[in-house]
Amino acid sequence: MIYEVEQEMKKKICTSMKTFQLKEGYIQRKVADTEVLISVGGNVANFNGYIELNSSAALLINLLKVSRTCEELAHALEETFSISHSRAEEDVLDFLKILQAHDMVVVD
Amino acid sequence: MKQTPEHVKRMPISGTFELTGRCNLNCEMCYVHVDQQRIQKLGYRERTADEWISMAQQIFDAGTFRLLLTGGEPMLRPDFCQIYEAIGKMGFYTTLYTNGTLVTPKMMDTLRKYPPHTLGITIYGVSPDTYKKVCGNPDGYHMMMSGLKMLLTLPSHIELRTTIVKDNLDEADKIEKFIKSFGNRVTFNINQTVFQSGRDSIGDAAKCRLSPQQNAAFYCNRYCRMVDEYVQNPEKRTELRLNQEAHEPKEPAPQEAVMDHMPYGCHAGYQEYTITWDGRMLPCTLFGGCFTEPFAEGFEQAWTRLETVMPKLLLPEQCRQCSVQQFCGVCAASRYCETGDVNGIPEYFCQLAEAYTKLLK
Repeated sequence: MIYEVEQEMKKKICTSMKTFQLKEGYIQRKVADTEVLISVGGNVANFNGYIELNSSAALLINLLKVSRTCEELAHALEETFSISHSRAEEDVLDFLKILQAHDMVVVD
Repeated sequence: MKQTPEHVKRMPISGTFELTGRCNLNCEMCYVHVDQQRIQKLGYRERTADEWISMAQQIFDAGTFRLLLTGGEPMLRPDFCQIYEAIGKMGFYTTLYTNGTLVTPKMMDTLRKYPPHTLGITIYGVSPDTYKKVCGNPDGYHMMMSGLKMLLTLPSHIELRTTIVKDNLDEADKIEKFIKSFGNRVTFNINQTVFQSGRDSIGDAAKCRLSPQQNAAFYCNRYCRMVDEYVQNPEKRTELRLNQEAHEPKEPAPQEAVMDHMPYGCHAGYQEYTITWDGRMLPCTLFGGCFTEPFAEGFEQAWTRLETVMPKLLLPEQCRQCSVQQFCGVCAASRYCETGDVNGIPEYFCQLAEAYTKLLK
């Protein structure tokens, strides 16, 4: 039941007009063929200062430099990696959940 | 011909900016410290804030990820905040080294805006008397304590660092106890091997450093205490992972194969570089034996050329045949510092290796 409720909530987030944007203080850059996200400013203690991004995370972080809806993010994943829409939505929501848990996004 | 593994291509991943060679302390073992007299004699000049900020942009574009800001004492520069803030927001993994004695509220405002990812604070003793002996400045102790109190409020990873010489050897245990009193909040970095300066500094390592025998004894005693502490503490014992897996033979670490591709068997001049206070690019902070000029020729060209000016490393025959090689901690930079020749035989390290061998027999 809890799983079904969670799935229902996820659907609502994706079809809503809520927007997400990466907070200031995170810089994405390429270091020796690896995409990394480095925290600057008061966030330096977050994830020990930097994390390596896989290709899908790198794409989403880049998009989140401006305000995006979940639908926009899912569409980008779908197009870039040739995955189903439902899979793309799932991945986006899981990713946004992690970002929110680390207080890295502004939600409007 | 050996192929260079892709993941260890030559690239300027880690850089050091020595913002100044000046310091408000006068530590007897320092291999960087210069005073105004020496600066004038050398005919060099410190770089301006604009020059450092522009260089930071160049190294960013070239792919440098880790950047250490150090000196001398970087906070001695009146424009420290200007330099630091400009660099702090660019997107490096920054480390700042300081002796902690010159911290002001204005600096704290800057550091709070862009805290360094790692902050290294040097502690030379836990008394004014020791600061007088080691650093020539008894006030340094209280100034450091005041600065430390402010710096500990930053969210940075904090590393408290010390160098053990003759004049603070008797306080080494107290220094360690003091640092450990901060718990897991800080890590401890202790150095007791002091090199002669390969860099025109006013320090004199030969006068103040531990003898090879003292050095070996200090290290071995400390190591034995650490092992004892781990063995006696059941919680810490698991950290040693004293189980079957730990004793199984492992594949040789890929790192060892990778080191063959690096001119000096380490990252110096291969993935690391230092830009000194007077604007020279060295393969590593110790090694003044060769350089290029990034402020004159641009960072990219200076980095490319650095490899071509590094003297070739040829292990002396005496070292190849040495029976205590396994205890020898020498490297190309330390050979140069001790002998003026990257292929020289550093007597201090030979005696140190002999001292370890005697102790462990």
